[in-house]
Amino acid sequence: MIIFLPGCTSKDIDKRAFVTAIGIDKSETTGKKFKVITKISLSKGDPKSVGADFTLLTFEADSISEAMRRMKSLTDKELVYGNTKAILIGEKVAKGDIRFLLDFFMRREDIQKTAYLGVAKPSAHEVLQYKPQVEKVAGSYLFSVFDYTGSESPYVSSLFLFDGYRRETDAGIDMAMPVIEFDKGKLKIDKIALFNKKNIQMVLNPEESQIYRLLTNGIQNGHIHLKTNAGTYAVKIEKGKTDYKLNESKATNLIQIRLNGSVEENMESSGDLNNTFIKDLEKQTEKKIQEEVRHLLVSIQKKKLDPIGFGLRFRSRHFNHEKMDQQWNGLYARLEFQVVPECKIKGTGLIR
Amino acid sequence: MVGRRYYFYLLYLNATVNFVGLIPQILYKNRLGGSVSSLVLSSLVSVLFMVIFHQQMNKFPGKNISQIMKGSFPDWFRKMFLMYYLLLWYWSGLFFLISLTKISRTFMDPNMSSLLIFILFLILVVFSAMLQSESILLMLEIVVLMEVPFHLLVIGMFSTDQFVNVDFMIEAMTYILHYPNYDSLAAASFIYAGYTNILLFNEQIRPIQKKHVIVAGTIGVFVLFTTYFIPIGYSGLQGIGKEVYVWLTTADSMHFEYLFVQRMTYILLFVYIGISLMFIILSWHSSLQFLNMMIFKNGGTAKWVAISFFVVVAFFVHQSTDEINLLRFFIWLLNIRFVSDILLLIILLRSAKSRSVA
Repeated sequence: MIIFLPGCTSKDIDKRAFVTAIGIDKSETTGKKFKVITKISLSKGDPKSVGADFTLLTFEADSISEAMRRMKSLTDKELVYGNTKAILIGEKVAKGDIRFLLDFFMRREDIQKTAYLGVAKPSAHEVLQYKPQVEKVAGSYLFSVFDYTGSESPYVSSLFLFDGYRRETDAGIDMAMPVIEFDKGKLKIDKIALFNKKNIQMVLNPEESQIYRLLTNGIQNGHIHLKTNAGTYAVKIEKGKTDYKLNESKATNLIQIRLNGSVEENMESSGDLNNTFIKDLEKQTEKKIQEEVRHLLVSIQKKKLDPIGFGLRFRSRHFNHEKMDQQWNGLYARLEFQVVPECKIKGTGLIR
Repeated sequence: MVGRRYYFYLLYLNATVNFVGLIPQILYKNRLGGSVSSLVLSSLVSVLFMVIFHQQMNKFPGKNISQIMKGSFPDWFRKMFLMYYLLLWYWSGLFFLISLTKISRTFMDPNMSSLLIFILFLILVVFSAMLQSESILLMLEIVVLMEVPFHLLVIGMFSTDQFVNVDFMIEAMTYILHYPNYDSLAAASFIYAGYTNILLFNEQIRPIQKKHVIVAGTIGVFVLFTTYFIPIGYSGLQGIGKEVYVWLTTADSMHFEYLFVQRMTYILLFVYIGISLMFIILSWHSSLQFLNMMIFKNGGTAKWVAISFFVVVAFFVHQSTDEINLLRFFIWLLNIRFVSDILLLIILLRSAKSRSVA
């Protein structure tokens, strides 16, 4: 047993290069299919001097495994994929077919199944090339955004590799990935891309992304902008959670949303926020949420996508498995969404 | 005589070694058929078997299977039965060893030679299997106690994980209305099969009462159902059919954010290696014990002949199996084992009857 314990069976750690992120783009040269980019951390192993220095290796090939194997010839070290935490799919690849990608990464035993997936815009190479100022370890910017401990941005809905794969293989639930956009020298992660089983179908804007997040994981520290008759207000959502109930005979989906919030900004300096006014504000917030949720759900429904897993819920409540897909597709097409939000504004900040 | 807790260790070891034995994979083959109902049926049947088995065994306190059969059966039948059990335990140990070698190689270093790992394991197993029965039981205690915290960690992680999709697990349960099938039934009942070890350790372990069987059955049900349903919660009902090493992928899908290591797969791998080596040692030790009963002697030339036979056959089988036919071998082995358990019960019942008549 002791022989196996060092873990680095045949090679020392200084002969290894650690890949922290992998990107896949469409190749620009003709004849090859993909361009694979690996981000390699150049830290020295000393915890005090861990730097964000990195180097990128790129190789163009017809298959990812070929590119990864040929990449060995670009470095004197053994490439180690055990610490890869982000897999970025270039926008152009995502528009084609990503099933083989998920299959490949699930097949490899050295890639963590909790690596984050994301769509890179305009290309994975540009996103990986960017070196954020605040980064501690090469690539850590990406994973701390996706991690729930790092940032709790309500616009990000992260997707693990295993989660992506199960959404690809199983009926009744589809993929949704965050979009990482490189724009004007900054990385921006506030959009969510919805997939069918094969490729990207629609991209949600930041407001829709926040609603989507409310419907799936729930949100913390969200934000709603309200325009009422009495003026404009900003309501901060401290906590939001959603439950849903499918009713087959009526073809409805009852969506119950519970929100806790507080008033953050009062753009009408004259108004005093008394109790009756806050009650009114709650009503307004509910109405706005109701509209936005229904709008988002209907537009997803029109594209025949199901990232929330309504179909899976339907499948899991039925014992007769024949013709189930047909039944569900028929039901989903005419499904009506009854959104019942329940908003409680619990405070107005430090002043009334 | 040692305490009854060793009985539970034997059962627990047998139940948890299934990850290496490709048993989840066999069960998931029929996940859209009769697997769920097979789980239920196998639980009922196995607990019934356990009750009958211990009732009969308690009529022969401190006696091993050879002594029990003596007088009720002709000598040639007794010897054949012991030989059959010797081979059965040997083959189950061997298949687990080959499976373990393949898993270790895949996850530790795919560039390493599989034969080298196999030889290292083989040396350890062969020499440990020749120890005294008491030493084996003491070893077992250490291995099981080391495993329990990790098992609990995984269960705890699962029950607090927001990425588990419960709908997948409920979807899997809706397939309960299909008829059970034999492959799944035999594979699932292997989880409970630890009780048959009492055939050999009856001399060492105090008699088992009904209340102990209830506890043992509960542990079995818990392990069996968590083994089946937890991976579905992570991989989905269709996705699970594509996994080869189901539980290692499942462990890899758990995101341990606050632990000192984020990737638990490797730690669990070491735990698995520990328990499966223990299981293999136990199986081969049992084989040697059956040999001793057959020839009424401890050790001597026969033991060394048997050991060399074990090693030589092991090499041949290891060289000629690949991942695909290994799964087939496992299905055969488990199917035969289930029938053998029934045969064993019949023999016990008859021995007890003829003894009470005489």
